Order: sequence, then C-alpha cells, then structure tokens
Amino acid sequence: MKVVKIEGLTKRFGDLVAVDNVKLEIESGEIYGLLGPNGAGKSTMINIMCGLIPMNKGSVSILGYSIEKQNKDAKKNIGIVPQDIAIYEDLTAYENVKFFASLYGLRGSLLRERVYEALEFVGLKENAKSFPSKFSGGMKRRLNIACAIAHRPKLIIMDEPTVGIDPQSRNHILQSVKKLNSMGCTVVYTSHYMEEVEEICSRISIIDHGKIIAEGTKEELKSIITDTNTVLITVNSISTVKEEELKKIKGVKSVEFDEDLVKVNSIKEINNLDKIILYFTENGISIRNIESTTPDLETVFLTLTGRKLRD
Amino acid sequence: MKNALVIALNILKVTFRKKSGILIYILVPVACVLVSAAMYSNVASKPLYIGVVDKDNTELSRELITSVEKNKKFIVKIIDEDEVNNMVTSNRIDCSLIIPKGYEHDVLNKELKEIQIKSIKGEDITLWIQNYLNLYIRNIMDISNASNGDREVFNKIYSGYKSDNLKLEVKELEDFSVGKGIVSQSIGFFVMFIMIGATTTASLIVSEKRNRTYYRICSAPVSDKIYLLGNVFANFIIVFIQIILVIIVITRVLKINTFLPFHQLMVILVCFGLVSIGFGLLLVSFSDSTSQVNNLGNLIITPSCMLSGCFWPISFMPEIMRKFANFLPQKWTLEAIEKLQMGYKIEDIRYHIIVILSFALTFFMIAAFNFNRRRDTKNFV
Repeated sequence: MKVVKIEGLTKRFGDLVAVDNVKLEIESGEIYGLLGPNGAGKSTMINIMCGLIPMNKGSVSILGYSIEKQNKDAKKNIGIVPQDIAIYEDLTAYENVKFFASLYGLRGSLLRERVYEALEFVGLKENAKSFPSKFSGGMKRRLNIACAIAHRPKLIIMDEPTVGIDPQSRNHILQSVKKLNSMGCTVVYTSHYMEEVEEICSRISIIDHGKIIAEGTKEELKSIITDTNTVLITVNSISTVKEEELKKIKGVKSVEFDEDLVKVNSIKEINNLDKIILYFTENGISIRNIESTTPDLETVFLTLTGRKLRD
Repeated sequence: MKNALVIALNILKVTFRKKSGILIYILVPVACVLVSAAMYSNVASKPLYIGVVDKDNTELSRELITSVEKNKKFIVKIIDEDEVNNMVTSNRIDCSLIIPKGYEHDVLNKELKEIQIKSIKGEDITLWIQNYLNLYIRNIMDISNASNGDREVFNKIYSGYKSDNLKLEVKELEDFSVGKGIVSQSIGFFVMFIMIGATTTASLIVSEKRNRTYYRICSAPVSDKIYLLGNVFANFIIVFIQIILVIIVITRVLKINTFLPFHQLMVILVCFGLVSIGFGLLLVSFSDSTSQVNNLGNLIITPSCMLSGCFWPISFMPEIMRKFANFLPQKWTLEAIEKLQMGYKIEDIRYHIIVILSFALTFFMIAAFNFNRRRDTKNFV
C-alpha cells in the first residue's frame, strides 16, 4: 500500500521553481530518506505533503486521501517533527503533548493514555510535569517527537530531528525512529547526517534544484556511481592543488578538498592513478598518504549534485 | 469548531500561566480605570479657594462673604486688591471675588450691575461661584424689590431669609455632569486598554509563528481559519472578563453611578471589544514580528484615542478633528455611552451599534484577506 503518492508536483515562488514536476511513491512500512542541500526543495515538498502550502500543479495523496480535497483525512494520518522545536515553553511536557494530540480529536481517558504513552516512548514520562525551559536540547527534541506521535499517525515526517543534540539523545532518537517503524509507522526522514540516513533509511531520494535526481536503496544509489574510483591523497600544502588542473586528467569526474585531504573521483574503467600522482610530483606537492575507497552516500551525493550535503 | 475552542483554551492557558499575563490583561486595565476614576472624582470634589476683596465693607457685603463661606465647596480668604493678581497667578487661590465700593447702596437702590470674578483657570472653575453668586444676588435683589428702598423693611425680610423663617424647601441636586464626566473619562481610558489588550492577544499569532507552534497546529486537521477563530475566541474571553471586572470596579468598588444600566454598558463595550479584536488581527496580518505589531499599535491606538475623546471631552477638539473622529470606532462607542447616559434607549443608538459593528466587520475582513494573501509557511520545516 502506498502511504505517499506524489505525481507531477510543481511549486513556484514567483520565478523560482522550488519543486519541479516531482514524482514520488512511498510504500507502507518504509523509512524513506530525503537528501538534498539547503534550498533543494525538501522543505517545500514536506510543507505541501502536510497541507501547509498549496501546490501549483500535480497531486499529493496520503494513504489515498488527497491533501487538497480531503485535507483533514490526510492530515489526521500525519505526524510532523519539524526541524525547529515547536513546543510551548510555558506548558509542561504533558500539557504540550496533550494540546497537540487533542487537535486530532482525542479526548478524555484515551487522550491521557496516549499522552503518557508518547512521553514514555521518548523517555520523558518522569518529566511529564516539568517545563521545557528546564530541559536539555536533547530532551526538547524528544518532546518535539512526542508531540508528533501521540495521535498514532501512520506517516511520520521527521525533518532533521537530531540537529544540535548530544550523541546519547541522537542515539535515542534513531532507536525511536526504528521502533516507530517496527510498530507500523512509515517514516519520511531528512537529515544532514549522512550516516544517520545510511543507518536507518530503507530507501532514499536525492533532491536537487527541486528535482529528484536519484532514488533507490542505499545499494542502488551506490551502484549508480560504482563506475567511480575514489582516491584519497593527503598532501602537505593543499593550497597549491588546482582543482581545474586535476579535472583535466582523463577520467577525473570530481575533486573534493577537506583540510589537507584531496578526494579525486574518477571513472572506474580508466586507470589514471599514475597521472594523478604525476600531477602532484610535477607540481612539487609532496604526498603524505594515498588510499583508495569504495563510494559512500556522501560520495554519491557529491557526484550527483556537485555539492556537499551541508553546502 | 471544537478545535477552535481547544486552541482558545490553550491560548488562555499560555497567557495566564505567566504572572505577567494576569498583570497585563487584568490588573493593569482595572487599576488604570480605578486610578483615572479616582483622579477625576478627586478633581470634581476638590474645594474652590476664593480670594475676596471687600471694597464696600458694609453689612451687606459681609453678609455676602458669610454666605459664600457657608458653602462647603468654597474656602474664602479675605485679601487686599493689590494681592489679587499675584495670588491668582501663583495658584494660591482659584479665583478672586471683588465686591465693588457702593455694593450695599446699589443693592438697596436696585442698581447693582456686576460683581467681578478673576481667574486664570477659565469657566470650569468660575462657573460654580458664578452660579452661586447669581442665585444669591437674585434673592437679595428680590428682597430689595420687595422692600422698595426701605432699609427697615429690607433688614426685616433679609433677617427672615437668613434665619430660615422663610419656608424654603432645599433640595440638593446631584451634579450629573461631574459623575458622567468621571464615567466617560474612565471608560475612555478603558477603551484604550481594551485595544491594547486585544492587540497583544492577537500578536500571540506572530509569537506562535516565530516559535513554530502555529505551523504544528496547522499541520494537524486544523485550518488557518480555525486557528484564527480560536485566537478570536480567546481574545473575546479576555476582553469580556476585562469588561465585567471594570464595570464591577466602577459600580461596586468605586460606587460610581454610570447613569446607564449594566447590560447596556456591557453591550456597547462588547461591541467595541469586537472592533479591538478585529483591529488586533488587522495589525498582525500586516506584521512579521511582535515588535512590529506593538509599534504599529502604539502609533495608532494612543493618537486615535486622543482624537476620539477618550482622554478629554471631544468638544474640546477643533471642528476638523471632531469630523475626523467620525472615522474612529472609539468616538462612536463613547458617543453611544453618552447618549445612553442621557436617557436614550438602546434602540435609539442602533445606528451607533451598526457603525461600531461595521468597523469590526471591516477589520476582520481585511485581516482575513491579508492573512490569506500572506500565507507563507515555507520556513516551517
């Protein structure tokens, strides 16, 4: 069963095409990763999926309900964990979850039960009567999640839920996502932490300039660039390395710099390692270390978009 | 609709959870009305200091001074003529009363033309003493007429008048103008606080957008219209509580006669409350931050309250300003209350109520249109 079905989705802000004719289908039970640099169109897509902004063209349905025509039915099935923590500092943890859950029609003892269930799920039951102003960043993030799940949505959209928190809280959240998924929730997950996406997502879309430029499982995405060899060269003086010169070498697709490390991605079929080393030696750049790697999602992303995820 | 109530209750909970909320929305408006009413009633009951120059120094002139002294509203000081200007300008007396030379002679011969009163505070101050003297002189002149120039007869009638042998039925009339003034000015101040309070409550929308809770609410099965309705409900409840409390303070605590029934005052103020809520939403619909809402509010609320007679009677204003005030809902509200105080029935001021509600409707419609136009949630996630 398709939990999310997007067809021909287009959204414009004036002359800017934020989402360009996107087609996307998410099956029930998936943890679906949305990857894209800032301004790629992820947020706009999520806003449209949640019925927060209208689209210019196309259709979006959640569990078969059109977000435009059956807005309330569609929204009832969604729980959203926004990137910015959306809670009331002047209400206790319990009151926060209770208020947001009551907007989904929960009342009385069922509401109370679900609120405590959600707080327990994120490990905040003991802090139910505390105010978020006394919470750590991680606890606030967990409360942010509790507010999104108390009404037991079938689809949970999480946007960067682990930004700016300690590793322990991050781990707790990732475990929670997996647990929610095992309980039958479909999750749409966006993150800047590639390793998180690699760890929990069953399928991933890479979005750039409002378009989905690649989609599939981790393995499928990596296979897109299995024709790529990556050589990592550690040098003494990185400022003297010219990206354009390296790109002139036959087979080099992209070059990336990270402190004193130069990453050179080349077409697998072309053996150009000797020429790359020659470039460094001819230009008097001393090599401290050299190694070859298999591609990860970061490489896939860089190869496809020409940008780092955090650009 | 249920969600609108849930949202309204949540806004009330968030607002009154903080002590500052109770202070801003309840205590400050009530306290200010209390202070303004106390201030005006104090001004109204303050005695008048009168410096008297007796240039005649006769039995009748002394009788006049004694008569003025007997009135509790006046405190008499006998002064010299050359002290008059100095004492009036230095505020040691509110006005001076100069009994001219030959006063007694003129009274007895029915020739008295005028008694001079000097003040720099205008008719507001001199009116009391002027009225009192007019009454006294009229009585004295009537006695003079009756005695037909015969001093003996005059003395006889006058001593009878003085000793109350003449059957005079004294009925003290309540000074309605003072009481109504106190109510009008207190309501004027309150009207300003209703506007400030409603704008502050409406600005919670901006705060909710800033802390993202607005978007979380709108991602639930709640439309932005229902959210706005929730804000209006909460705002209305706050305004209603303010109105009830202020009317109770005015009528029960300060025991001021409002000169109109409780329910009529309620109806007018509730109508104005709707205008204020609409006005608050209007400001919010044009603003991106709470400081912008507050700045716009300050820029509009105080000057418009001044123009529409919230702080002083509108009759003090120049003609052109009074005409401009017709475009302000506060003017129609205060005028409606004034008419009800004058004994008009609620049906007689239906035109005023229609105008006030039209302001509310216009504000709501522009705000709704603008909210829709500026619907921008791209920063939510």
